[in-house]
Amino acid sequence: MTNISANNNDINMSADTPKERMRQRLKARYRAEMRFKLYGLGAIIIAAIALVILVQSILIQAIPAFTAHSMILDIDMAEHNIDPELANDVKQVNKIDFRKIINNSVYSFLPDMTSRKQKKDLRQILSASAPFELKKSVMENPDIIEGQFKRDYLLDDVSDLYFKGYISEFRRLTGQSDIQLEMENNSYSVLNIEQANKMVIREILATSLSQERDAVKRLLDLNVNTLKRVQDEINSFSENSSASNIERNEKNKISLQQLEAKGKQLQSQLEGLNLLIKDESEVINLSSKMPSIFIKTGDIFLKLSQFGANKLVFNSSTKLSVPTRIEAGNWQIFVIEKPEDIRLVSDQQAIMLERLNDLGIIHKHFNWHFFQGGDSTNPEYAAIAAAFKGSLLLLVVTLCLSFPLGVCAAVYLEEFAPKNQITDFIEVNINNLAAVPSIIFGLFGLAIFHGAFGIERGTALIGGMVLALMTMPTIIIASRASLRAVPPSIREAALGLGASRLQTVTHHVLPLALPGMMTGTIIGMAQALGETAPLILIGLIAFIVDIPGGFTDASTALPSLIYKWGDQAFLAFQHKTAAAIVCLLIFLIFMNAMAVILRKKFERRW
Amino acid sequence: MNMIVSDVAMGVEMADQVKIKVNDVDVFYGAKQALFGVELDIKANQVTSLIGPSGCGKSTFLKCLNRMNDTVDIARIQGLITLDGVNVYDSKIDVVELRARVGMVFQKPNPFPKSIYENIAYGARIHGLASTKADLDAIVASSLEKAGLFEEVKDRLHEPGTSLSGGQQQRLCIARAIAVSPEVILMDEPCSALDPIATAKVEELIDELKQNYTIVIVTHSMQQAARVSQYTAFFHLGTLVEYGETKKIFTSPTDKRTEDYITGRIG
Repeated sequence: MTNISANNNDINMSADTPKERMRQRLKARYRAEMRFKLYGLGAIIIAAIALVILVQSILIQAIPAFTAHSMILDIDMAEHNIDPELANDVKQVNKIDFRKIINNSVYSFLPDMTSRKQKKDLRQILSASAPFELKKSVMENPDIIEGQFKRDYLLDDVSDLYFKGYISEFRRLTGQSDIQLEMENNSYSVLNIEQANKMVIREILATSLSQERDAVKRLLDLNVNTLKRVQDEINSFSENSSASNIERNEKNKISLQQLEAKGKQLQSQLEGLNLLIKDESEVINLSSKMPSIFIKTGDIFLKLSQFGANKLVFNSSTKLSVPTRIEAGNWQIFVIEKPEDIRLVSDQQAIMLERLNDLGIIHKHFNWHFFQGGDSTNPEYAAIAAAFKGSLLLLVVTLCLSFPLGVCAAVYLEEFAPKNQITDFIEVNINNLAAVPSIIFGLFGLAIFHGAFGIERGTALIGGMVLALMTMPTIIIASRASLRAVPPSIREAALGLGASRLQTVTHHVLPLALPGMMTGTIIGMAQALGETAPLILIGLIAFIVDIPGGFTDASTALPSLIYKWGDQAFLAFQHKTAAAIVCLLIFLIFMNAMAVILRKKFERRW
Repeated sequence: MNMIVSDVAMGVEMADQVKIKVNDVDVFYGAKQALFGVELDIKANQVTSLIGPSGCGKSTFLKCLNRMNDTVDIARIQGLITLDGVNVYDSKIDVVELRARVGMVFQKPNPFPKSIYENIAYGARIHGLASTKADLDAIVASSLEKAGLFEEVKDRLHEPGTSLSGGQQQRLCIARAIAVSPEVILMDEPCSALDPIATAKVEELIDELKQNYTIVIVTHSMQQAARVSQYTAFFHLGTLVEYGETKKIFTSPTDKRTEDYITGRIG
């Protein structure tokens, strides 16, 4: 006994014994396991971060689309003396000039805006779709044709963005002192503006000027570099005075002169800007490359054109009478920080918007229209209801076709079909179909369903048929997997009792496999819901204004609407695109939640 | 149905009558032969146990009797099996009807994931044994009673069958088999997944059931075979080595292999 234990000790002591090696291997195995865990965790974290960033960026883009600004118009139909008979006939209604009615109503808010240009700016504040909305109201309720009423109309997308703060940043400061206005040559001078207000204006101008200076500096640097390169070339060419080189040097010398002149000009510009920024006694003339600064009192906006240490000069195009003295608190400094040159809304339009807003006729509200209407070329009236309904119709067609077919195919293949080369071949092809690019199904649908069967393009019916083809392999594969998951003992029990094969399947196997099949189907449906490519091919990308009523009406779908809106350049459409994506995602999350609930509810354990 | 009535009525006098006659049966799974020329007469209203080491073909043989091997694509059978003188592999025989006459209880309790009531009623319903709800209730009650389960579950007939204990589930499966009024009940190691107490109950039940049914049971437990069966067949490597009265097989086996197996030298 003692001998053996001594031997054991010996073995444990030496490092290269099997036991020691095993221990080391064990350590290495634990380390590998730890590493693997960390990789997994890292992958999850990266995925989660990506998801958060994605959702956040979409939400930030989408939020402005869920609100809208409307203007309350006083519409006086009586004033236009319209024959009430017109309203009863769809054809006659078009004779009414709804545009004029709307425009007159808008003009009436700012009667001092009389020139062509001003009127054009004014009527563009309201959506171009407003007359159509009025026409719709008249057709729905012909009685209003003789009366007066108030109604909300959405603002044009640009005006809407102005109030949402996407056009520019604004600054509003209340005037701290009384000011005296002196009129000379259609401009007004203010001498006694308070120092604090003046400092703010000066600072805004200085910031803008230094941005301009930086731009000039970059140009100057570029100029210096180019100059140097041309100079070098001249030097190198003059060393080797071949005919071609002499000729090219002639050209170089001319461009050298031009560059030098440009350089001098930039230099003096830079010096001028530096002086303006540093020296507070310098007079600054404002251009359209600089922020727009106004003095606002009541309806009157005076635009700053010259900023001097002692005197501020303002211009006004208003026809309203300008008071010579304004008391403290009755005036404001209103700054639009983005220069007019690079802004979508001109100073004139901004003044109109501000004045209309002061009248209290513009209000912000939840954008119900976004969930009620069809597509529109006017971003403010573009809505998702038609596409949403189209998507629902598509899903109904897809579900009705692919679920029964898919389940039947799966049951046959799994429970009845003999296992031979033909069924193997079919199985391989079903798996292959699941991996076929969806656009191929679109082409197939176009060629067979439209070309051979003559089903009309762009309808929910043909779209649903194509999507059903696409989802069927997914459903078959999921259904077969869930059939296979039903324990064979259940089949044996039923067969042993004398149930026929069909009874075994319908009474026992299918009910147990159904939750899995439904889960697979819903996931397939969710996939179909997000599909765009085949829909584009079979024409479900048309411009659909009316909400489709049935399976054979021209429709579109949410993903193709998103694709189309995403292509638009208007900022408002970008917001709408993001909002439509949010709606699609909510729809998808809802469907996947349904899949989870169904699975949890019907799942049986044995 | 008539057959059953007459069987029950004549009781013990029919004890020696042959219920199932097996004549020179070979079974192949693909190219592999699982049974070699098995010949065996199964007596009516007796318990016949099939013993032998794993893989000897007992279960294969059992499944031949109600054609459960049909569900295995590669299985092929040669020879003659007759039930009451009729060839069960005859093309005129309806396999569904055959399985209604030859019920089966499996190794692992496999109740349907439905209520206890539905488990029992299912077989009766698909074979049209009950025309009214009351008939069906009577069948369920009597089957549960015969399986000795009625007292335990009478208050929870509508709870799922899977909520019962393992032993109760197995008796539920036996009751389910009884509910279609079979003539023969095949049991494939019915107690292998049960504890000794549940096993004792099932064995007791088997003993009672032989009054009315012919029972064939596959078992790995020699004690069980000795306890419950009147006849024993010993299988080894796909051949039927010895068949006879249980008493005789266990006390004075004629074949060396049987003796070795029973005494624990092979298997």
